[in-house]
Amino acid sequence: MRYDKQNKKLMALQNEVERLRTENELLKSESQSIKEILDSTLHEVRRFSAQLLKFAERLSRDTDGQPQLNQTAQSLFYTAGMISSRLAYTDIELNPIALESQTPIRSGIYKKFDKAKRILAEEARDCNISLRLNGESRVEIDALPVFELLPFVLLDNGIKYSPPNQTVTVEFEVHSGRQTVTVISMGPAVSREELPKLFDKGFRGASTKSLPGQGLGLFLAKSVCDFHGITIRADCQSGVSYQLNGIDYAEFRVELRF
Amino acid sequence: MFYTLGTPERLSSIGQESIDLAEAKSKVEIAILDDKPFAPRESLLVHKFRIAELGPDIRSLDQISTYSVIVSDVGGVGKAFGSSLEGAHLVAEIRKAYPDKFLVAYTGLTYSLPMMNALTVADKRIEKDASIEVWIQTLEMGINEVINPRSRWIRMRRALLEQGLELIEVLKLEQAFIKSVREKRPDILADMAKSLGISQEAKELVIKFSATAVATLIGQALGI
Repeated sequence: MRYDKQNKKLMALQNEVERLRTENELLKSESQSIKEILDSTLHEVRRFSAQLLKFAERLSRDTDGQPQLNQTAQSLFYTAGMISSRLAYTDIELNPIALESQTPIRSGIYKKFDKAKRILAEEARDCNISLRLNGESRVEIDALPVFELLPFVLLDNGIKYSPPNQTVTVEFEVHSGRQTVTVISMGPAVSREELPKLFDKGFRGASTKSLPGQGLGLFLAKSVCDFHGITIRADCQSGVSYQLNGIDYAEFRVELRF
Repeated sequence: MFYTLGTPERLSSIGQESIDLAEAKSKVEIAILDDKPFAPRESLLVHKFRIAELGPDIRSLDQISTYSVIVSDVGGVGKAFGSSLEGAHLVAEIRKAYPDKFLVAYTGLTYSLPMMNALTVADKRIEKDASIEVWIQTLEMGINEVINPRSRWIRMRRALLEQGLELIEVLKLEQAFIKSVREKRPDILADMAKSLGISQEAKELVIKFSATAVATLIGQALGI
């Protein structure tokens, strides 16, 4: 009688193991097919991205004497470059070792922010936001392809969260021999308790809950800083500057130390 | 056993001349292996690189023997070699036959660990849509490497040691190489390889090196 009970238990366990085995096989084949889709998508997107870079650069060269057209061509060229940078970041997300095979290029910090400003100029205009670079910097760093994302994300966040008719300013200064870049904008107020969590993946402050976004921008910015040994710090002015549509706004700063 | 070494020449006695990059660019033609038109071609031509697109159908390694810098796509290239790794396999075969060449492999799958492992023999692995700055930096690095006889021999020497050659044999070959470059006669190195009791594989490697790399280096020095 007791053996029967044990045998039944054993059989039930064997069935469960079999079920899990089948499920495991299913998941394996699903993961393989997702990997194949990802591989072919990445391959094709990179091919199109390379083509886009080629055409944008040609357009940029061919419109050399036509300032307005040339500016659009330049923005197109820089935007095409962002696809490449974003995919370089995807590589690292999928496999952190990919970081080792990326080629660093000596690049000027100011130039990178100016590039991001040009890419976002139209978006800023549409939102009635001014973008301003203050000061200057001749400092160069060994920048990986993913570096492009850092100025872009910080300016993009500034535009996205600023109320209309505001300015997003990028200050270039040297403090104790170190280049500092500070992005200053008006944004939804962030409490002292929330500040340390701002760089966590998916974190969104209480006052931004009603605004669009996924809480990825500052996480991504922090990752890029980590790859390059840059210190990043966020700060929000205590107290509220004003309220708009039920949201408290205050001055928000992100400081980068190179 | 005693060896008489005489007074060996130092390898550092060659390849110390400063090289003008613009001149080097005009001398080194870069081979591109891709089943599609090479997207950065136009920009690289603007930057004065010499580009030769050889297409994907490489049937024999002899087709690339005269090029010192080779850039290969991974997908759709070198199918004639019959490996599922396609371009990655081709790059590995080129490396085996020509250890001194500067190889660049590019792919859309730079995240994939198996792919990157298959490409470890390449000097550089870059993304298919890498920026023009990355291409320029990579190719200039390659040109600087292959135009210098000293760097070229160091690559070859590493391969010979990996094949298990004795240090004394490598030293003799190195001395012959230095003499070949000095006297602008590739046959000096080839003759030395033939006279040594080394494996047939190593012999062929050195003879091929003297017929391609040494001949090219001499040609470049003579402005041919």
